[in-house]
Amino acid sequence: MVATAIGVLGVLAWPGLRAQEPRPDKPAQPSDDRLVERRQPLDMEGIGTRSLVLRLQPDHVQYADRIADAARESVALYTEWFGPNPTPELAIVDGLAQPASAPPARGVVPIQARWLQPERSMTLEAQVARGIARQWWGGLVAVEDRFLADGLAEYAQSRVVERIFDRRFQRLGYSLGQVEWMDRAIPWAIRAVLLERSTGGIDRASFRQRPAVDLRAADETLRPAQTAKAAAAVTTLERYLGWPALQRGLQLACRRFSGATMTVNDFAATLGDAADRDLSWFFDQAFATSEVYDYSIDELLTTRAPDEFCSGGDCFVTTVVLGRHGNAEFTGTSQPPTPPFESGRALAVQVDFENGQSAVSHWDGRAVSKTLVYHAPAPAKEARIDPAEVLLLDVNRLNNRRLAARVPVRQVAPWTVRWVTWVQQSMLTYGLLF
Amino acid sequence: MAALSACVTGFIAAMRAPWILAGCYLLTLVVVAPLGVALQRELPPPPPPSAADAAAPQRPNIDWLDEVAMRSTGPAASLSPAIVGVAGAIDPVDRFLDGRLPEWPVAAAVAAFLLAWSAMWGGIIVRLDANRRVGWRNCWTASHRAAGGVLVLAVVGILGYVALSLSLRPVLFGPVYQLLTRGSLDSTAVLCRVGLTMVYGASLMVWGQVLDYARIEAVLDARRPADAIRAALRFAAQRPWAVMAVATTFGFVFALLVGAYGAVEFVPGGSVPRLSRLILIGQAMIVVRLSLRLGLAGAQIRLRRHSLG
Repeated sequence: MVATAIGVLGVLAWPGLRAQEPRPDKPAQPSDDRLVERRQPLDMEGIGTRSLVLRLQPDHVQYADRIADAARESVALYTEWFGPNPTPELAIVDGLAQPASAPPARGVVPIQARWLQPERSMTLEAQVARGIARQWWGGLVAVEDRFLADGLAEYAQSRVVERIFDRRFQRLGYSLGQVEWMDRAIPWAIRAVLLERSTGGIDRASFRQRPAVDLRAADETLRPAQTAKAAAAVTTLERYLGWPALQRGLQLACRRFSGATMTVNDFAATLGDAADRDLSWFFDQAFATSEVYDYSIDELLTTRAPDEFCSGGDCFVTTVVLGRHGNAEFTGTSQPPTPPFESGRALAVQVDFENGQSAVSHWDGRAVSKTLVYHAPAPAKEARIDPAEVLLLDVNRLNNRRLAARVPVRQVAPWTVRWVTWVQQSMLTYGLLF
Repeated sequence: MAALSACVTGFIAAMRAPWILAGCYLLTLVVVAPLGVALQRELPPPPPPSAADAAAPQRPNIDWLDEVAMRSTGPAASLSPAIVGVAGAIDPVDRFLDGRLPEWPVAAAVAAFLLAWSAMWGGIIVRLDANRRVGWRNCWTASHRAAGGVLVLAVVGILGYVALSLSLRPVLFGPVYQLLTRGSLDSTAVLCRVGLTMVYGASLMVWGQVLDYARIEAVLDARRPADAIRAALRFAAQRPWAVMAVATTFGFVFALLVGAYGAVEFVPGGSVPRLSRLILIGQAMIVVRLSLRLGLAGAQIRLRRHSLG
């Protein structure tokens, strides 16, 4: 029954399964003359790259248009954001692995396409955009630290792929989530699961697995976590400084270090120049140490104050206790504080009240704990630290929000229902043998 | 023709026993309900939706889900995107074929269900064989009488599954897969993987059929487990095509059912349904799937009866 089901599902859901390619006699290699070559001009003004060459495995040719589209978009946007790349020809080569330590070859973009590639899962486009970004970060600008080049390329591709997804499907998002079956042979895009650029787009899951990863460790298995952490740091900068300031900084870095080597300190100084502020407080912690950021709302208490009157009515006292559980500090400035005053206001704290009012306070994030007290005409509903999700390096975002009451059933019930149904499905599947 | 006739009459017999279906369905709910309540209590609040999305049903936030699963030691540890929509129906089948055990809360629920399910088989088979009301007392007596033998068969079933997972599977997806895909293109490798999965699935199906017929023999002929397995093997060897045709027919219908379940996601609003629709669609799928399982049992009983003349 299971075998029949798998077979029928395969034929119904993946029509491509019927179009079997002839089996080759030897392994397909990029240098193999069986790679299909497609040449496409890039008819866009102000772009250094003039032509695009796709060298694809015969069974991946069906994705040539998608790859070319992603390449065009990437080259156009990177040129606009970072400045022109003088590579006259860009060759996208299928089946090549990105070399572990060597810088990317000039004009060569390695990708690993797959025969089955769901239309709304953008993993293919992400590979193309990432590879082309490396022509700037690591190619045009030699980057001393691998993680910085990887992180910048990862961040850049997340922006490009979001644009492509938005244009193709008219939805703001990065990609649909994907699951893989049969030992990763069969991918399936889940229509309900829309990934965001700031999470799925920069592979935040890899960062979450190893938040204290040593960025300079040479271990190749750590590379995804290093890349994700660096990309999360750059995205944090984007959210803190704003895209225009960050983009100015990236463009300035490309201009300053074109044909030269850029260090993390050079990058920090360049971004600081572009944003007209000192960013060493962030770079010293995010890039130079393995310390982690973890801020939380540790307590939220709201009680009626019988002896007080707010706006002529009842008054409620709300106490919010903030916590810092990681050693890294997101302060906003390198200027040391002068007690009792804080220095910096990088972290926002928002308290929402039952009457619809909100209060936003700021914290320099240095102390291990801080208590805020509000007197308001309504009890507090919830408190959030970093409500705009600026600090993407925060290792635990679950403790960033606290409700005064219990979690409303309807907020989490869809997950409970899905999980219960899935467990029932599991029971019936294993029940086949019993 | 005998197989097709057995499929139709067996399914009708199963549908004529709605209390059996209701009982089995309730069993799945009773087993999973405590874990569901524990999960509901364990889940922290998800990030609030943006103002633009506030009115629409909440779209799954996978970053939040991943964070919850990573930090949980309870049922929430098994949360993943694979439980969303049609993936939730295919994921257990994929795990079953891959020999991957589910996380402990799910494994515990599955084990509890299988224990109770095995104990109920006696009554189910007697009711489907009679194709008329036999009364709760007779069902209970049959279940009670056959429980020991059916449980032994369940243990044999597990051992057979483990043996196939540890012997045939590594061979198929190790040396055989390597041999077939050496120097091949990606598409060929995928097709080989699908083909070998079907071969392995077919071996599990054959084993499942032997156990099903052994269970029927154990209940209806009051045979000991070893004798029941011998009788089932004899029966399957005498009528291999009919036995396979019955199983394949229900497998095909199951595949269509999963396809239809998946198609719901393409209906406008179907990918992120409202809570009531989410419950309705999911539970309807479970009921239909249970109907098919009971229908298969009914068809097997009809085929056996037909063969006995």
